[in-house]
Amino acid sequence: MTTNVLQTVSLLRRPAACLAIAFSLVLLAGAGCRSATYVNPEGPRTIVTLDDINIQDWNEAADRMIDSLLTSGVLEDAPQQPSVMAVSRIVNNTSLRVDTNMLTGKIRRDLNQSGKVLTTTTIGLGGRVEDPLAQSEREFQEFMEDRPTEQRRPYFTLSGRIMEDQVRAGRTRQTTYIFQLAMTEVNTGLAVWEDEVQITKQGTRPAVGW
Amino acid sequence: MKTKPLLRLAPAPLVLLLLLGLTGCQTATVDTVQPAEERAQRNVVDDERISPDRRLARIIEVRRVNEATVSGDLLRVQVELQNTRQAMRRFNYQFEWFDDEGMIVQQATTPWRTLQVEGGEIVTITGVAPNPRVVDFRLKLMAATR
Repeated sequence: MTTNVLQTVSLLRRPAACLAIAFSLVLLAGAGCRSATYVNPEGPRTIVTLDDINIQDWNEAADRMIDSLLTSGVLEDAPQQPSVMAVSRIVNNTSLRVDTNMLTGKIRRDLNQSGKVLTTTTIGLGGRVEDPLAQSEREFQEFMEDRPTEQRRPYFTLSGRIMEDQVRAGRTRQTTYIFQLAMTEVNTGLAVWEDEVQITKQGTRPAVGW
Repeated sequence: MKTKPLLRLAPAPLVLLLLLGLTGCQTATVDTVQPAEERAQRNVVDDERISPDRRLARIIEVRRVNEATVSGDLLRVQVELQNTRQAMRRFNYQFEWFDDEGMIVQQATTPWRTLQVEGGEIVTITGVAPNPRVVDFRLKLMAATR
């Protein structure tokens, strides 16, 4: 016991050893507990994990898709401006349980704000509408006025797929989330715009900030 | 005479630095070949730079900024950047958009995006204005947080 204490004391007398210990303490303090705080969900101080599609991944995928769609010029081809779009099926082929509205919701809002596209909420895949009240209200008006109301049909539909690819080299893991979207012109059934965004994350453990 | 192990002889900080160096980034620079005279007609914009982070400004050089119109009336901005260092660098960027009264135009998504640039590499980042009211932009650059 006395020998151990003496060894420790003699170790502390060496400047190099002291420096190494101080450095280790600083590292430990840096990796220690942090109180919860608010961070900008669109900023670079959010948490990055390898096993999830993080909020910044959804944001970036949506943002890049919107840029691509607005740059493509296909939205101007619709005879009536702004054109109407309906959201079709977005297939989740990842191992995660995700709400694809994280992607399509942002795209819809940005397209709406661009003034180029409006999204219908009373026409949905398999008859499942997003806003049942609006639909029933329209049906009620048609019944009362005894004539069909003018409902704009979608000129475009948005469909897509989310996939993942996971690989590992030793302790380092790499996950790629692949977002594929296509916009189909309803009249022709042709995909007039398609794009893919790949988001790849690599590391050994989750981290705060990027 | 008994030989002491190498690690016991070497000062601890030196060993630490050596280990950090071994696990660090590998240097790879990008060479670029392009026509001596460009055929593209770029609408190059004079830019003003505000760089509190002088280190980042030295590492990431803004080569030129040009703009165009897409979808009939949407401003599209393209900024060409070059990593002036030999090693790979990561940085984040975000576009902000302003209307003709200088008011910021909010979007559903205005996320910071991250970009990895190899040593010497020239990259182009692009932003599309969220609506036709946008007439001006601002590009924010920031070193990666870690």
